[in-house]
Amino acid sequence: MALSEAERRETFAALFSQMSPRLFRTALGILGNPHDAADALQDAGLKAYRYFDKLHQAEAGGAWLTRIVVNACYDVGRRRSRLVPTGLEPEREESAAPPDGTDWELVELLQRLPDEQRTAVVLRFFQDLSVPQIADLMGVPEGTVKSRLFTALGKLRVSLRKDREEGVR
Amino acid sequence: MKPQVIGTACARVSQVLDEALSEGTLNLPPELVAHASRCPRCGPEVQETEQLLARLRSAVAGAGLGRVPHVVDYVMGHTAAEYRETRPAAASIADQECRPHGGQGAHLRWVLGQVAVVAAALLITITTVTFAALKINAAISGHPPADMMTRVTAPFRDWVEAQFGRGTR
Repeated sequence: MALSEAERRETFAALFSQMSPRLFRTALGILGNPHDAADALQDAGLKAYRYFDKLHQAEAGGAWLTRIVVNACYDVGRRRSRLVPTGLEPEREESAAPPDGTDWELVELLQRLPDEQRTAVVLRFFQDLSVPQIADLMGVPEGTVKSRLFTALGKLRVSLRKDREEGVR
Repeated sequence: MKPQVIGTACARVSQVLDEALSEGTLNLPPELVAHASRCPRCGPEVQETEQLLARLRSAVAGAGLGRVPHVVDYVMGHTAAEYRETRPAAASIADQECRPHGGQGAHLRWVLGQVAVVAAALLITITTVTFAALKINAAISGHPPADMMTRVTAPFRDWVEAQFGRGTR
């Protein structure tokens, strides 16, 4: 896209503002807490603006931004894994603000899945992307996405069943 | 405990549930819905899968998005500042590239150098042509080039001698 600097800023601002709630939810699903999700969204936004000229089709902007956010989430996750645990519980949204509608039990269960399975689930359900769209975004065959979803949802189903049974006892 | 009898309908339900886990959507045909409502094995499985998919779809739908506007503002503000910082630098680099290096004096030296090179080239060419012409003339007339030069310069030599009184000696 050959745009002037002002047009470039305007186009980017419109795309990023429009996409940011969905991107934040995606980051929240992948990282499991709102602080890291905001960090990932911020990193992704700065990076996306820097490389915005490389986006040749405006209609592909959503998928392009999502890919950047997913990569930013992996980076934030790696940084987080290098931190020394303090033994304190990570701060949740409800500790600072009134409880929101997030299903934290499920979000926590998602964190136990491997990165690629979790990402497939998050993109399918939090971003409402189709299997072909996820395959395109993750650069893998559709069969691989289906296999990841199958395995991940199977694990989640088992975990929830176990939790339910333990709750009944 | 009586062993469960798994019929064709149960196998089909199981197949549809597997597809649901791979695709992320459950599309149970009406006849299988009817079967699942009666079957003690399929009923809970279908219910469990439906609940899982519904929970995943709504897991972060109500997530607090309070941080998102701040992130968007930060990204747009930061990129604007970056733009303001890089713009003057880029302009000064462009100016330097357009301007002759080292100011007015260097430019004059460059022009004089060009003139000197052209003059030297002309001098070399004229000398070469003259020398070649003398050689050719000598080859044709049989006189050595020195005689030729003596004859050509004789009037001028006579005039100079007359002016400075050598002839009066």
